[in-house]
Amino acid sequence: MQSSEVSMVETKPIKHAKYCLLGSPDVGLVGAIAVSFVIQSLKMDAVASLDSDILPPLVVVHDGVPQAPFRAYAKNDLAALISEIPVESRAISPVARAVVDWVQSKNIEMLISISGVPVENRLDIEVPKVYGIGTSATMLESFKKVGVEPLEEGFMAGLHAVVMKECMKRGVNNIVLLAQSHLQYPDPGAAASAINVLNSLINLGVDVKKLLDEEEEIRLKTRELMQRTQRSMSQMPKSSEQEIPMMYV
Amino acid sequence: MSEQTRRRQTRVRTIVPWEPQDILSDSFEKMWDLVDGSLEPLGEVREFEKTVRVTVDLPLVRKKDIKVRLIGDTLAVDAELNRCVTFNRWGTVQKKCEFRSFHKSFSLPTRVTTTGAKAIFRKGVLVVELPKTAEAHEVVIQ
Repeated sequence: MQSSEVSMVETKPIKHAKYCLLGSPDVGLVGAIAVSFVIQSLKMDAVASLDSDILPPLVVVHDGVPQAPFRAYAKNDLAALISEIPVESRAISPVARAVVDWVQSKNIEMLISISGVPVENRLDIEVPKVYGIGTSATMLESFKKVGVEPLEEGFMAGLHAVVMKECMKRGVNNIVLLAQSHLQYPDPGAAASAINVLNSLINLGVDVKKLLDEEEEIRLKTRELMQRTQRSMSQMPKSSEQEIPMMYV
Repeated sequence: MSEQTRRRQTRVRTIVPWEPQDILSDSFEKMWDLVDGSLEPLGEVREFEKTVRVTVDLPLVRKKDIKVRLIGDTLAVDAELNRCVTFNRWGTVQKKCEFRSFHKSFSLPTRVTTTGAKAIFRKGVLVVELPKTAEAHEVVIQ
């Protein structure tokens, strides 16, 4: 269960989960907002946290209780991993290995990463589309059934990219859902689109009405996190995501 | 020692731990002013061939409450929030605070004019398009 330099510390060990969601602050804070909303809506229990010397020395205090910023939650067949701080470039690989170690140790059938894909004309889009990338061809079929367009060409950078590479090496099922979003403004609307796909894909049963009703308030309250995330993303080749990859090299 | 353990130990030596000086280089600036009761919005400035575009995220704001002014090479954006925003459990020591407006001055990369400028406010995002004033001087190729 432990990667050498980063480890998951379990406070309420779970034996198994069918699905595990992963969200951390990146494009439009889509993954962080979506997973955080799912955790709150389903009243999931905190079960573990990530510990490492390579993460900033801080704790988050919620309701007077100090907590690690990168935590795992669980309820019934669902687990969720969420980071409240952006994972810096140099910490991404060890964090990704620790995440996949934990997912494997719980025999999780599918790891579902949630993020955003920036689109220039986001203001013209009422309901953002969600694209998907999967580690196996069979996943493409399940994407089509729930209206997710497979991402056929492009680059992906950051934590979700390294997690996916690690999953491919180890034969762990992983899909990445990418909702059309603003690049540098928090985008609860994009998070709602991603949750609606999860509702169809894994029968999550989370109503996004409250998330959409509170959209403007969430945007206002997550400005600082977005700004910090923007700085963190500038250390990564996120601009590659706007490029067209060379074919058949 | 197994091959896997050896590989992991090699990896450990290559990892740079989080260093205290990182906090010194942390140039994060606060995005609020308690005295004014104002918040700094997120925004960006992009330069195009003939225009400069300033985009500002202004949630909880109505179009009629936004004021945009060009002052020299700075675009000042002020906006009243449609309601006073109170953070009841906010920050490390400050228990309660209230904000009533957004304010930010954007430094522009080149001279612009308000003549022919366009501004739209949609879904809480303000987009201001300002034409450049700098004249282009053609360089003759000999």
